[in-house]
Amino acid sequence: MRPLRHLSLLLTLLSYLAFGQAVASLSGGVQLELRSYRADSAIGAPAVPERLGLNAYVPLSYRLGAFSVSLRYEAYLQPLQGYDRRYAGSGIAFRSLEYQDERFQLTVGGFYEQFGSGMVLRTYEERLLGIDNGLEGVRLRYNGPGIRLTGFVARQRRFFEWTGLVRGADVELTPSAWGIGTPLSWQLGASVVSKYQPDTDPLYRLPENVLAYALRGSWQWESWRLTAEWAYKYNDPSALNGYSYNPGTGLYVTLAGELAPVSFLLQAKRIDNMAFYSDRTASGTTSVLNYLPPLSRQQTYRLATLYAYATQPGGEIGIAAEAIVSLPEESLLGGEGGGTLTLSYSRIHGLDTVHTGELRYRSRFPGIGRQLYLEEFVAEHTVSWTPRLRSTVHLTRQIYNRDVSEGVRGYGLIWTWIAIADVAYTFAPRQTVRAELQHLWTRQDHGRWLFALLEYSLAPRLAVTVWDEYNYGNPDRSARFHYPSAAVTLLLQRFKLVLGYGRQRAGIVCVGGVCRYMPAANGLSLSVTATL
Amino acid sequence: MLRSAALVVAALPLWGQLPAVTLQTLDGRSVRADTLHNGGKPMVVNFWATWCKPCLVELATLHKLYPQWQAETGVKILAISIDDARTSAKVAPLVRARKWQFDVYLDPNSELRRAMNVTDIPHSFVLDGSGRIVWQHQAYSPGDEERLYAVLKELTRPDTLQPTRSDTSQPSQAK
Repeated sequence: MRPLRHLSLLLTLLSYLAFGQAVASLSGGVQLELRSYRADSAIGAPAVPERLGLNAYVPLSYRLGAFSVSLRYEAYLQPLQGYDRRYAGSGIAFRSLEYQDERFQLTVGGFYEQFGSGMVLRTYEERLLGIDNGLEGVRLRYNGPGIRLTGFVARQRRFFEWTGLVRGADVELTPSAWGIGTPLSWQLGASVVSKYQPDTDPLYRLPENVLAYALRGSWQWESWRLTAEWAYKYNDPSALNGYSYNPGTGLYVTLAGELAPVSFLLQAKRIDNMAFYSDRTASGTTSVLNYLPPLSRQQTYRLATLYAYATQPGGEIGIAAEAIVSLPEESLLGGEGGGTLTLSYSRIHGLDTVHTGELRYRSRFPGIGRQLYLEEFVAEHTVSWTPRLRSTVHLTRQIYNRDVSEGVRGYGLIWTWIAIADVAYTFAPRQTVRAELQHLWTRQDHGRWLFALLEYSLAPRLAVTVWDEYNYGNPDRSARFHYPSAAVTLLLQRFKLVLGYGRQRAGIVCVGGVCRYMPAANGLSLSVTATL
Repeated sequence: MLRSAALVVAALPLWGQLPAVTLQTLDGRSVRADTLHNGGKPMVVNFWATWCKPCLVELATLHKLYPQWQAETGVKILAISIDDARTSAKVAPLVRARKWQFDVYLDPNSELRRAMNVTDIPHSFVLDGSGRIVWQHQAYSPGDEERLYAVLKELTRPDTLQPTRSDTSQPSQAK
């Protein structure tokens, strides 16, 4: 009792004497994902011996003036199906102490970092995918007028341990902040990342230190913005690239602008041997150091995610274009409330490479290979017809190379059409009914799919959703399954509770172009999130 | 024991506020979140992304109401996009096409999102005139904006106006 009272006095003194009128704040949260598993041999849901899976995340941080302390407790008892079994257990997954003033920021312990677009470094946490490649070590940042500097030395999280050794530095200059080149607003940046891993291979002489660097720039004039980044990685033989001694390169260029009423975006990207892991034997989403998102559209409608493309870090080249047309209010296509028409196109190919010897290949620039990885055309019309009625109509044409994207054999290209209608009607104050109807046509793979969803919401507390996914066109008549589900969402300011029950098809879940396989499941699910 | 623990907590001036995390403006400048303020008037901080349908519906609704709300309560809406490197280039064209007048910032590696314990989006916070988080709401269903409006009206009732923070913090300028 006494030590606690002393602690309270000490903290009071700290807050009022040492920091004067310093700002103090406590923040935290809880996320629980609980799921029961019932064997369902028809859809391939296995019997899970523990019958229950639980992932829990509890972050907490306290800030007092320029100092802050953060912790995150995580528990996987047992990990949900689809998550790496090596997460099993519990512990403190993140701990950090930070000092920050107007100019300097010093972090000791855990941190997440991204340099530029992430081609040489991006560490982040994505719970839905079971990704946490956060760093733990020491980081120093300096923010001055028109200049930002970052440097760190750290190890990387791998489940409940920290491994490897990673060093990095980044500089970003904003010359327009010093009045240079105005009215153009522009930035230049450079980053370097190096990882160390001892060479214990009996056969090959492997580089123990691998360096990667990137140069970037962005230029903005009125609504026009051009950004470009070039990345280079010295030879980094790894399990994932077949112990190739080739260097890696990456180029990413984006141009955005407006020619009223059309806003548009053009992107080009070339990736060659850019898989970058702190551990050369790793694969998948553990020990990843960088982020290589694809140029395909980030789809969110259920059937449009059935064939979700994942970046091929070994090599790919692609372009993407998107135009958003503003539809005025009180018009034929814009309804009473206005709307948008979005058209997007992307095409991704493999690289044209020539095998030149054991563990080496030659790749010309730009070297567009003949093999198509993905072609996608999307048209989406969203409109508020009246203040109570809105709709989205969506059409996707996709050619998807399943063999390349999923690392399988014998499926080849899958040609699909997807049509979606999403209509919401607010029939009484705060009460809305929303319906989605989706259809996917293909002659390959599992054939045609139908998806229907109905949702009732009573703002601001409640939503009830029922949906069914039906593979009615499966060439194998015995595999024409329904995947019905229902969920109730309850909201109370800081709390959100979602209770669901149903069948979930096996499939790839993707966030930001990083994908994870989720096995089929049948059972009850409970999701609770709360913020302090 | 419990009493002492309560004492520890009670001794600390605790309230949520915007953390000291760096965001980007749409033209690439850096801004510290804790320097953003609205001169003693309330702010709404809304987390969204270009690929999040309910977020777009919510922001389209707020866009229609914004001029009236600004006139009545002086509120400022900060729309924090958590689009990462894959989609962050789409934010500016989308904002222009939809003619949004919000203060839009990018949080491409989810630093602010993590610091504010935002799990799913949309997620909205209301800050009073002194920068304290006084209300929050997850998800969006049509009609949620009525509750948000009621909170803003309550905050700006003449007898409940909070002391301003404008004298102690810098305006939202690039570092």
